[in-house]
Amino acid sequence: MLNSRKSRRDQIKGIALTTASFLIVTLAMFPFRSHISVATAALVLVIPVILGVVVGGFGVGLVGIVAGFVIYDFVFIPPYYTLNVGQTQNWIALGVYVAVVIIVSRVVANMKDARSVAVEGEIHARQLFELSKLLLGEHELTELLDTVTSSVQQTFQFEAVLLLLQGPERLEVGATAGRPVTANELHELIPESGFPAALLRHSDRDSQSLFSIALTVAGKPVGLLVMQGALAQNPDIQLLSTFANHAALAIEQAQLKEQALEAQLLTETDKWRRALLSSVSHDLRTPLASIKAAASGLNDPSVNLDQAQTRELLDTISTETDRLSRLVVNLLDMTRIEAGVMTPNNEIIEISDLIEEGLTALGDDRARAQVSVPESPSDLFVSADHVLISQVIANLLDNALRHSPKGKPVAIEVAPRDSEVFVTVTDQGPGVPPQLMEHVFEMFSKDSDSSHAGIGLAIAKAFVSAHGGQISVENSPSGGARFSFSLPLVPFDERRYLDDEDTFGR
Amino acid sequence: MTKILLVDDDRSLLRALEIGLGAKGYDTAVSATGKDGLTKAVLFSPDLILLDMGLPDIDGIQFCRQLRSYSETPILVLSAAEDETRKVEALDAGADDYVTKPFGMAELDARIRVALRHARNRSDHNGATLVKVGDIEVDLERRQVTNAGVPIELTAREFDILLYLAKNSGKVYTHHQILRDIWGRGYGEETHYLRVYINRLRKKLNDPEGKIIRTKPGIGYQLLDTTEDS
Repeated sequence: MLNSRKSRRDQIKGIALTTASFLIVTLAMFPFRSHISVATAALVLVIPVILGVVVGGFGVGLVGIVAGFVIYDFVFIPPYYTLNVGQTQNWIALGVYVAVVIIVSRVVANMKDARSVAVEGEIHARQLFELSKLLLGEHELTELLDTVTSSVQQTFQFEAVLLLLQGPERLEVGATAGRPVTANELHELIPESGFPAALLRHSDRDSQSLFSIALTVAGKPVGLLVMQGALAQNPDIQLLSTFANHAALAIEQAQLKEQALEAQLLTETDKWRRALLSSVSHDLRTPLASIKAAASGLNDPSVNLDQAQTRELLDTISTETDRLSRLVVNLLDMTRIEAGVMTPNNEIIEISDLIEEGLTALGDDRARAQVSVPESPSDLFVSADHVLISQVIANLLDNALRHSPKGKPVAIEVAPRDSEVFVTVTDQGPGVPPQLMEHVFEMFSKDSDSSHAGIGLAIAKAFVSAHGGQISVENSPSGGARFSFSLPLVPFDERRYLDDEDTFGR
Repeated sequence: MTKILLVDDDRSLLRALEIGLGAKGYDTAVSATGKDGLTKAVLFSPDLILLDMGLPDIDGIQFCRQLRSYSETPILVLSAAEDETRKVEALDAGADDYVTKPFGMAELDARIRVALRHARNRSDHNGATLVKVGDIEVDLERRQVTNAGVPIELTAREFDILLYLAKNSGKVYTHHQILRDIWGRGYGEETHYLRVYINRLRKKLNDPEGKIIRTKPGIGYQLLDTTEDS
């Protein structure tokens, strides 16, 4: 882009060098001119011309030849200070001088041209390399698009660069660099059905016109690179189009990778859905089977039950109905989480109240009797959605009760630590097998054979996370499982403030 | 007293079944795990086993296979509706019939009685040259079949199928089992062959509604003694 200016500067330098060296050699030989032969002077006078050609090119050489001719004839060929050549052999010397200088100048100039082409090619290659290097490696699509536009804008000094990609219906702006492009200009660039788009934009400033390069891979369009600014030189256009090809390849690759990721995500989601369905249908059916068996037993005239047996079957129906309704609540909550509509409706509440609520949500009186609740420290306040956290407590207790042998108590404890409060539920069951430890909170952690599991723990985790807390599991030294979750404690001051208001909270 | 072993890890269901079946006059024992169930199958020597497919320790299918290696005790599988393929696997592994959850006590009792009756029948057939299921008599030596005394002409393959189902009447045979055992190794997917033969057999046995040869949709066929049912 700077070639013309550079060559003009070189020409001036060449002429200066030629003039200076002519002056030096002429002055140096002047005292001895009667002693040195005419041919020797001619040889020495070749030097300034060659120097001029090397620095300034063939044009400077031509000026040098004329100057050399005049100096040679005027100063070194007798009779001096006339253009008269005198002897015939001097004519020959003059002729040979001119011929030699012209030939040598031509050769040197050609060499110089070849070298400058090579240098330019090298610069070109380096620029392309630098640009292409930016496209290599793992790039997200948006990041890649930004790289393409900003590097084109910087390398070629464009005012604005715009990358348009094929959207679902029309071209869409993928990335921009430089001056922001106005909505009006976009209208002209992107054809929309029903609106005329400019094919040729008549700009007041010609050098500032918009132009574009199509990005294609194997004949398929990938996008359109639109630039505003001057682009005069041929090598620059080549560089730009080569880079455009590289960019097209990189963009297509990134797009393909994104599509592959999407497809993978879909498969995962699908797998997840199927697992959820099978888990849920199992969990729904299990209590239903007990209810149906108990109810039909009660209803069967051929079955003779005593009072205790009748009571037990009725109990089963009641317990299992609670279990079922808890599952339904869990399912509905899960749907809310999935749909992304669940935001905790927080209020300041004492943790012991939440535990009381959790026990109530457990529903089952007999199960409740199995839960031992030690005196928990009072004055522990958390900011929580009481519906969700009591659900977490109920789910943890339900899980613990199902894994505990009948009659063995399940303990729930509360302990503050630093700025958090920890709620721990410990059972006396067989504990969590090590290989399942990592997966208990997943939606279908259970292996296909186990009928326990389901979504209760997964929901507990989701709810605790929604409150900014942590949930974890370990096996207690005595062997049972110990589930624990934390909630951030509400600082004392804030609580005081709320107490004063006396209208907040519950 | 008829002894029934209940193997299920769901305590509530186990208890409800224990009470219900106990009140219907069965002697019951319960196991919450597969391993315990296999042990009790020997110690308690039940007449029938009610087996849940989803056990915490061993797979229901494996339970069937292990039990069948030393015992002919009928197995009634309790399965969820979505366990279709596992149901078939369990039958292939030696289970006799299945009941889909949730079920009522009356239905369960009826299935238990059918299984028990056919199991008794089966032990009568051991070594006998005459297999009798209800009105149908299959003479092994003369390869002749009569239905309520009326001789019936059957092709060789029709006879083989009928004999196969009749020997273990009451047991649900999967398509795969019948094809493999009658047509031979390498068969198993050609359920349409089977459908053709079963239809012809039903016609000849005067059983157009499939009451004697029951269709278990998507699973297989079962030959039932219909004479004792009210």
